[in-house]
Amino acid sequence: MKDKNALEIHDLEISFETSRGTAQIIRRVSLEAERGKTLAIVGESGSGKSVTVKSIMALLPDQARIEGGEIWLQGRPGEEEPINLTSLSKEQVMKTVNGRRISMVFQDPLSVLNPTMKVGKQIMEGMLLHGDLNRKEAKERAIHLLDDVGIRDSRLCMDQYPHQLSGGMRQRAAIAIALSGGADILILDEPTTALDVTVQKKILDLLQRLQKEHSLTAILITHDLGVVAKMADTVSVMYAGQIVESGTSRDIFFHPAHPYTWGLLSSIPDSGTKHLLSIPGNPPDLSRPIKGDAFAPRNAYALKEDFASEPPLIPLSGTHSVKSRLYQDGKRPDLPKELKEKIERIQKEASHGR
Amino acid sequence: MMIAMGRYLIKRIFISILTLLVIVLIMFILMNAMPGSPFTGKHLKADQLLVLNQKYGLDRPLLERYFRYLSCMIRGDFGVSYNIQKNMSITRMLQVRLPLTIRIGLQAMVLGTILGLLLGILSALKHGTFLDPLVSALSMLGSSIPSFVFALGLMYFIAYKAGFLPLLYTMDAPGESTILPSIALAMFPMASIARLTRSEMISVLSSDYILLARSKGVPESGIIFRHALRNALVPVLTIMAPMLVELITGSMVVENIFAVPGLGTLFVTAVQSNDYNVSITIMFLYSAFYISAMLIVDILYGYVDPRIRLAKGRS
Repeated sequence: MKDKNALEIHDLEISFETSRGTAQIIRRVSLEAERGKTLAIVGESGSGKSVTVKSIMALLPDQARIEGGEIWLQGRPGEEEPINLTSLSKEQVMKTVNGRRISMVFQDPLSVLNPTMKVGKQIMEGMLLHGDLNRKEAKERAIHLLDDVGIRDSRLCMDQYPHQLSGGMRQRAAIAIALSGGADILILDEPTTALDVTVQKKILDLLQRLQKEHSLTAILITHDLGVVAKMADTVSVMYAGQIVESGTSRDIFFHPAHPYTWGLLSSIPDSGTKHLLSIPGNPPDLSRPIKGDAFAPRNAYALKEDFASEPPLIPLSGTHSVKSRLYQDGKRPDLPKELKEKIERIQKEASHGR
Repeated sequence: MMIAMGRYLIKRIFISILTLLVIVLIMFILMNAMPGSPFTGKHLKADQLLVLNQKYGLDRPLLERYFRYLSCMIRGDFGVSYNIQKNMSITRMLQVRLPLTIRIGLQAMVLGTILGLLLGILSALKHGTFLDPLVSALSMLGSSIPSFVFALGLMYFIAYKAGFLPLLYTMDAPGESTILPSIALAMFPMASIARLTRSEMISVLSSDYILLARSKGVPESGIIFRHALRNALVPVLTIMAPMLVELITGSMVVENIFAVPGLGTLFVTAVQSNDYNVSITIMFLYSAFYISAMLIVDILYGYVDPRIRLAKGRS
C-alpha cells in the first residue's frame, strides 16, 4: 500500500444472503483514503456506501459475506506494518482495530447512544478498553473530551443519560465516544443528516477542527453534496455497488465526468436554477444479476455496448478517473449546457466569497 | 430526585393500604352472601346456633363486624378459626403454612426467572440455529400447559416412576417435598420470560447503540451483559407482576395436588367450610403479597430504565 494512505480498499466484493437469493451489494470497489485528509463517498441510498464502510470495521450483519478483495490499514507511523483487515477474524478486528484505530460516527444521534447507560460511562468504556488508564484518569480524559467537542457543562453531562441531551448534544457526545479510544481514522456515516439545519454546520465545523487538531483521516459518507463541498478533499461517487467516478473535490465539482455525477450535481438547487433536474428511474435490484452497465437504463448518454458489458475505468488525469465509455479513445464530451452554466455560476459565487 | 422518589413511595403505600381495606370489605360482603354458616353440624339446634353466633359476634351487623375486625387486625390479631381447627388463633395456624407457601413461591419465581432469562438469551444469541426453535417450542408448551398438568407429570415420572423425590408432601423431608411443586409452578414464568427475553434481545441486538458499542471494540461479553441485557430487561420486568397472579392461583391447585399444607390448601378448605376469618386473612395476605410485589417491580423498573425514573420524579 502507498505510504501516504491511511486506508486502501482493493476490489472489494460483498454479497448478501436474502430471501430472494444472493445479492451482489458491493461489486469490486476500490478506494484510497489519504492520511489526514477527507475522502467522501457519495451516492443514492442503497448504492452500498454504508456497507462498504461497515465492512472495514467488521460490523456487517450475519447474512453478509466478503467474497473477495482486500482492505489495507496503514500501521501507525514508525510502528507497525500495514494489516489486511479481511484476513482478520471478526473478533480480532473488534479487539485491535475498532475504537483503537478506526471509529465511527453514526447518522442518528437519537438512537445511537445506549439509553440506560450514563454518557460518561459510554465515553470511558472505549478508553478503559484500549488505553492503560485507570478509572480516575479515564474520567478526567472523558471530561476533557466533552469540553473538546463543545459541551458546556461537561461534568454534569458525564452523569446524564442520553435522553436528557438534545439531538445536537447527543451527536457531540457520540463524536466524543468516537475519539475516546484514540482512533486515527474516523468514519462519518451521514453525520449531519438527522440534525437540524442550524446544528448541521456547527457539527461540521467541529469535525473539521477536531480532524485538524488530532490529525485524523476521515471517510465521509453522505448524499448531501453541500457537505461534500465543505468537507472533502477527494470524492468517490458510488452507484449500484461500484465506484463510477473518483477524483479530487475540484475534479468532481468543476469537471464532473460521469453522467451519474452530472445528474447528482444537476439535482442540487442553487440561486440560479429555474427547474431542478432529477435522475429518472430507480437504482437497480441487486438481487438479480446485472448485465452490462448498471446505470445504462437511467442514462440518456448510454451507448449500445453499455447494455451488453461493463464499461472500463478510464483515467482522465493523475487524480481523476471515470467508469464510462464516453471517454474511450481520448474522447472528452462536453458537459450538458445547463450543468455547465450552473458550475460557472457556482465557481463565480465561490470566488466572490473569497 | 431522592425526595421525589420518597414522596412517590409514600403515595403508593397509602394507596396500597386503602386497596387492602377495600379488599377485606369485599371479602366480608362476599362471605356473608354465601349460603350456609360456619356451624353446620346436624345435631346443632336453633338455640345452640344462636349462642354460637353470639359468642363469635356473628349476630352483629356486617359493618360493625368489619370495623371491629379491622381494629383487631391493626393489633396483629386475625381472629380464630371457627371450624377447621376450632378456636385456634389464625396467627398460629399460619405459622407453619405461610413460610411453606412463600418458600415454594419464591423457589418457583427464582427458578423460573433464571431459567427463563438463560433460555431467552441463549436462543436470541443462537438465532437461526437449531436451538432457537427448540426454545420457542419449549416456551410455547410452558405457557400453554396449565401448572397442574406439569404437577401430575412430575409426580408420575419423577416421584413415582423414578422415585427421586417425595410424591406427596411429607414432614420427614420438608425441603425435598417443596422441589416438585416449585418446578411445576416455575414452568409458566420460565416460559413467558424466555419468550419475551428472546424477542427483546433480538431487537436490542440489532439496534444502533449495539452497533456503536461494536464500533468501539467492546467484546461480545460486554455487548451482551453491559449493553444489551439491561435494555432487554425493561419489558421483561413489566410481565413479572401479572406472573405473580398466575403463581398465586397456580399455587392453590399445585399445593392441593401435592398435599402441601400451605396457604393454598387452607384457603380452599376455608372457603368450602365457611370459615370466615381464615378465608379473609388468607385473601388479605395474597393481596398484600401482590401489591407489594407490584411496588417492588415498579421501583426496579425505574432503577433499570432511567427514562422512567425521571418521568416519575417530575410528576
